[in-house]
Amino acid sequence: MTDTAAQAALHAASEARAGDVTLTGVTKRYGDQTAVDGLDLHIAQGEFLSLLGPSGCGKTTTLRMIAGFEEPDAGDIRISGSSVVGVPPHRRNVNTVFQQYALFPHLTVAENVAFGLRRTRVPRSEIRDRVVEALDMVRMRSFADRRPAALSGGQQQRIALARALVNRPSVLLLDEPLSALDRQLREEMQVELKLLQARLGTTFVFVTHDQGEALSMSDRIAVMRAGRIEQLADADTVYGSPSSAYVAGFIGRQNFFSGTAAGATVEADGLTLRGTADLVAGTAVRAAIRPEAVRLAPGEDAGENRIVGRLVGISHLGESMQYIVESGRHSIIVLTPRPSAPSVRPGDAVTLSWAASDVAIFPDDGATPAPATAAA
Amino acid sequence: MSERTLARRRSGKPVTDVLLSIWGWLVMAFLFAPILVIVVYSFNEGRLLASWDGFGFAAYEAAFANRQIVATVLVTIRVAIWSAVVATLLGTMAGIALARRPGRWTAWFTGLLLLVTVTPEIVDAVALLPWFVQLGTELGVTILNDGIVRLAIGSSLFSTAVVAYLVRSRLIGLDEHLEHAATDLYATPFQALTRVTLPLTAPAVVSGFLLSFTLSLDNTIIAAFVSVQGATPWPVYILGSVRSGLRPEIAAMSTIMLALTLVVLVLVAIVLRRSGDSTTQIARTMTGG
Amino acid sequence: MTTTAPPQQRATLPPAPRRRLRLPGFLMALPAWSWLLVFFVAPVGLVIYYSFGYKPGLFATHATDVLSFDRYLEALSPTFASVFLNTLWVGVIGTILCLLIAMPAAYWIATKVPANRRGLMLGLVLVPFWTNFLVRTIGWRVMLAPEGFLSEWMVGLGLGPIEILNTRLAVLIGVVYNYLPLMILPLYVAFDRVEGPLREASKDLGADRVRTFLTVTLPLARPGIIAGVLFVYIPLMGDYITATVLGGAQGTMAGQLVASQFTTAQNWALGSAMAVVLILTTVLSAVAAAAMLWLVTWPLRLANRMRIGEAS
Repeated sequence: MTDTAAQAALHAASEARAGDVTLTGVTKRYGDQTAVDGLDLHIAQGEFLSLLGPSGCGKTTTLRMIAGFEEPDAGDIRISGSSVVGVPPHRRNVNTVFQQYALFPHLTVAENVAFGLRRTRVPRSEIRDRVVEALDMVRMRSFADRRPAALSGGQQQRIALARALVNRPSVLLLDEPLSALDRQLREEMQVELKLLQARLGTTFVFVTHDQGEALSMSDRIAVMRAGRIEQLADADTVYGSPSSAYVAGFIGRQNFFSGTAAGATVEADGLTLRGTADLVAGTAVRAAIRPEAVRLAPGEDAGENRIVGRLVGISHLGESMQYIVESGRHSIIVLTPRPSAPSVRPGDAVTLSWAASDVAIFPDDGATPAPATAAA
Repeated sequence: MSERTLARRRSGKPVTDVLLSIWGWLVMAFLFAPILVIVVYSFNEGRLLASWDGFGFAAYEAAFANRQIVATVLVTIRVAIWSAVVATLLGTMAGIALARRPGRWTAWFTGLLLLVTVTPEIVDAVALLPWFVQLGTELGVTILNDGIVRLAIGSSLFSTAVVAYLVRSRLIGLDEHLEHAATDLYATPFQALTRVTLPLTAPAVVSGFLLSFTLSLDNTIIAAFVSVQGATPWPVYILGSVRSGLRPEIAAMSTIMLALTLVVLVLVAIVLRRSGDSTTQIARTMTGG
Repeated sequence: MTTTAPPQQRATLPPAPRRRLRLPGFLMALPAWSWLLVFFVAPVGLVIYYSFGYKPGLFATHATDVLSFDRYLEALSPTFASVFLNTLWVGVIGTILCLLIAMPAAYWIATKVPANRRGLMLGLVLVPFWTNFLVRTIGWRVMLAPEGFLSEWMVGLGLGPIEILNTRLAVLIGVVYNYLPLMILPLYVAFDRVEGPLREASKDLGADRVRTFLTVTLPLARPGIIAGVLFVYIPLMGDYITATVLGGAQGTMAGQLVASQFTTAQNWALGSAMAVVLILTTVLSAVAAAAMLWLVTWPLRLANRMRIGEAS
């Protein structure tokens, strides 16, 4: 058992509160595929935790094990202090907001919301009040008597939320609930979800492959890779000090340079990058620089890390400008806020510069992180 | 909690699942029991089908030596081909019209198709007999005195409705924009029909043809009424021997026909799979869903 | 074809589209329409017409110079009415049995069998469907024969021989067997459509498996259940073969009655009236059953209804 596992177990034993979720050494295999591999995770009461990762990283499987739709092959899951292994989903005090909402098409909105309350011993008179209250909470009361099919995606999303929250679960599980919405609605719902969570104080476990969603809402983010947690930290740390090239590539965009370390510098195919770390000379490393950390200036310019290149593309991203610069065999992406954008044209010679502290250097672990793709 | 109880909780399938699968396999056994009985009893050496008298291939030899049996099987196959051709042709056209040219007429036509499918076969049978006699002998439409023609018409009615349903539901599930795109790309309406609509409908047409063919092989009730001397189809022959006495030859010929049907079905399933359908889709296509 | 040229005529278009006559939409359906009119509507219409006639003499089959409802009264006289009641009994009990047997089996295939084996399972369900109806009924005749192997096993077990051939019970077994695939298929499609996430959502909201089945799966599968019941009930009521092969004198069904009037008795008028009665019995009993079910479930539906109304 690892240190964190021991810690998590200790945690669970000492200060379990309603709404705590503790996973210890949880493993799930499908045939010879290991979906979740010895996962240790403690989620505190009232926390907004995101499980972030690409499809197939085990995030949804983890969520489904907490919900009870899948049973772990090994390890223990504790909710509010007591083990739920072997407890069927209908006897767990957690509720789920499903990816495609899974609203019952044969019931009205109100009947959908009342579904969970009717299964428990809530008095009839109280059911109605709580349904109305939940619908008010998501501002959908005037749609109470309609069928889900008559609602838009965003409205269905709200109903799914109300249907889960009306049961006052100790933990709310959200399985990519915003992925089916268009961009504007998604951003609105992000704000709404965060406010709702803050108001209710319910533990939220949010599964997503969208780093923007995770960054904007979470107290902590667990970046997952191949059934394990790669980094578990708050948004600022995950973004600013990623623990590996994988995390660096998954959160935000990066310019990656593969090369060989030599003291504080990295030799990368004709480029010399100066960083702050002291590295053993000769190790294969990956250096990463965020597009917004790069300064672009026309002509020649001075700076700690300075390279000259040719501007090949400019795109307007609304609040910022994106430049693509070619230098030798490298293609580098630069993001500049619009007010401070220099006036340059494709074909111009430009100088790129950045601070040594903005260069993150990771050991090259052979994994291929997401390349710094230009935004469309 | 001990590791042991945990393990049990993890691996144990719920009792309801176990009961369900037992039930499922029992139903499968029920569905196959009489078919297996026929196959097994086709190797009966005895004179009577129902009383087992040793294993042997005598029934198969006897079946092929029996001219009457061979003749009835050939009649049935000829009828099935004709009936399937007619039903597929009429049904496909009707199905396309229903899906792509809806109008006030659709309700009437759908109503007619519904009537054809829900009317008990025995009513069709008793209605067709006097009708054929009247048209054939009294009004001089002599083609209706031909046994094959009568049988093919009789079994084409239900099949036509089935093919029309199949083609219609297939087309309704497909985007009409595909045809619009074809006309946008300079196809004449006729070309759009032959180059786009028909290929898209093909799976429904193929399964419709197959279904009509097998329905016709099965057609007993109407056939029993409208068949004429000299063109007795296989099922009517069997029905006759239910009254006079069942012999193993019937089981032998039925086993051969079953084997042939299954081979054809497997072939079609392979063709459909090659063209990219999933197993469930194939099963649905073959059953007309 | 029926559409005219595309409305937008671009100058750059290759050959200018010819103007076409706008033909009525039903043109492509016309062949099928006329085919069914000549060989279905006309003959069945004639049968209905005959049913108001009478049998004039020993050697004539029908006459329609005097029209009356007398043949219907004759068809409903006690001798024949008992056959209709028998048919109704077999029809109702047979359909209910088919539903009860098929429901768990279809649910099992749709939800418990691994997805990659479902096609095979459906294929297996269909094998009887592709086997000659008559032949598989004969299979039952062999199995149920008093001197058959099943009977001998039963005697060996001390349970006595099977003596149900040529009874109503044999007919019931036969029809349940023959129409079972027609029930399993629509039920499978219906259960297959109730997506996994909906059942999971129900369990997530505190419903156990039984509750989930009753409150989510079953209501959503209702159209398929109705289709299955009709697919089985309608042909079952008109069954002729199963009763002929397995029923003997005791297990007579209405279909045989109609047939015998046309063949042995040569009374087309009475046979026609019986055919009409058979159709009416089938339709009216189905409607009555639907109405009854609707009434019985009324309080249940009332209890589950929830109306909030607009916020004031």
